Amino acid sequence: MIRPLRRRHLQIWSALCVLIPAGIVTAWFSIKRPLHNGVLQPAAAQALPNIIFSVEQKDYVVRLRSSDTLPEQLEWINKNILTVPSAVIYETVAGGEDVKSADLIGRIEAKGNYYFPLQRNSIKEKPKFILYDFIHEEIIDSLNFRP
Amino acid sequence: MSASYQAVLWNRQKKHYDWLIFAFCTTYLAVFTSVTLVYNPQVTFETLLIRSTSTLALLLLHVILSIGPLTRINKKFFPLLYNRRHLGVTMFCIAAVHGLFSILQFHTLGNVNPIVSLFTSNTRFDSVSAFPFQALGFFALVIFFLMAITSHDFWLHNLSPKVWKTLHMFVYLAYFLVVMHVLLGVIQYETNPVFVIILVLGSGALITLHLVAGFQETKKDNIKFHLQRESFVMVCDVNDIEEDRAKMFCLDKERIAVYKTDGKLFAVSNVCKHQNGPLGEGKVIDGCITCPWHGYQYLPHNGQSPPPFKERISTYDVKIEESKVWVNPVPYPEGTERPGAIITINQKEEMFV
Repeated sequence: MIRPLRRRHLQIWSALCVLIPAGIVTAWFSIKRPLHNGVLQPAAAQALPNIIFSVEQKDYVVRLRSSDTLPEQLEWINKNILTVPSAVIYETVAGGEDVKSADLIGRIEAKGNYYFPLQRNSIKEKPKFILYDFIHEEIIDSLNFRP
Repeated sequence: MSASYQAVLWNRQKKHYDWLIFAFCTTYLAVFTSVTLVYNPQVTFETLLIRSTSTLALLLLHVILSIGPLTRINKKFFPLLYNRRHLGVTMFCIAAVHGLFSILQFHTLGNVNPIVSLFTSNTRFDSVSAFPFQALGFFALVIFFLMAITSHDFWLHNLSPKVWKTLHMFVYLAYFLVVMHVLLGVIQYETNPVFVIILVLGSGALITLHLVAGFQETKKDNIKFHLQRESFVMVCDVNDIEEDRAKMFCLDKERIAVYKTDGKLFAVSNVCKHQNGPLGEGKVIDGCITCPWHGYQYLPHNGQSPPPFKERISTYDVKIEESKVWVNPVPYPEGTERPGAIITINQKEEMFV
């Protein structure tokens, strides 16, 4: 390697020494945290016994479940593989349309059952769930639950 | 080293190197697939492929970028560098599979051209968490593609080493784009900190290696040689140089390699004509100075590659006075024959005292 190239390498890596840690810190602090759990589903999640509301679409069934002791639960059953593979679920209240102010509940991917613990009291607050494509930044579906 | 171009000039080392790459990649993909199917049995084939190839390509990229500084820190890593281009092309192919399937999975179901969709579906450039991270990966892939298709010596000779090296220095920009692609992409929708930890460890190790190697090289380049006489500079003692090896000295703008072989000292340019490899870190094999990077060879007394090869490097005057080695830093035209400095019996005896 010639001397100017050695010098160039050192300059580039000195710059990356600043840029990469800055990028890591910025990206880490901008992560939107889900309410209770990791975005990908824990395999051992179990459905709660009582169904409060239920909505059935062509490709998925969505239910709000509860029990006497645990917080409410969102059950999402993908009957088919979604045409949009990069989907996350946001929870907001009836009338809310903006995912920026909504709570990130979790991510769904392949066919199967997904269970997410919820924080709100759904019976009182009329929850709304937004299925959101984060690659294309667009709402795929909005699900309103009414008592 | 070859007098004519061939797609791949296979030899035993290259075959071993490529078999190792193949074995590592297939093992990695098999282990990744098995573990994923155990923990997430409903995963689709496309998702599995996208994830396994992305992590493998990222791992290979870290290995590739660490080879350069590792060889500068320790010569034992030179065998890794010998066939690094094959590792680079392999990494590109794996990254291309990731890119292709990502575009198929995320951008082919609408009525917009998939590439147009990649750049127009998300335009939130003002957001960190919703940044269109896929575009970063796309641009990195374009750089890897250009590097892969110009990796052959045909392009090195036709583009000139300077242009070729400049093009291939874009790998560092590509690396930064890949890191940001991961940080603004998958990490934004995964709460498992293992992704961030792996990326921090990988990039931290890479930055440390490059900075350590870079500062070491700068230190070597800045060594001052104060003793001068009649345009010669005293550089070392004759017994500081091992037989059939060299020591390097930066006397002017570029390093000079002083080789000891066959009872003589010879001074030649340290820069190999092939890819600017450090000739002074090589050794004399079959009477020729052999570049440690890719085995290009030069005769010590005239800096010419043995026929039928045509590469030539500069030669310098060197002399020995009272066992001290003196080098004239003014180069002769490339390929100029020089007599070298004969190591006398007394100097040899001094060496073994």
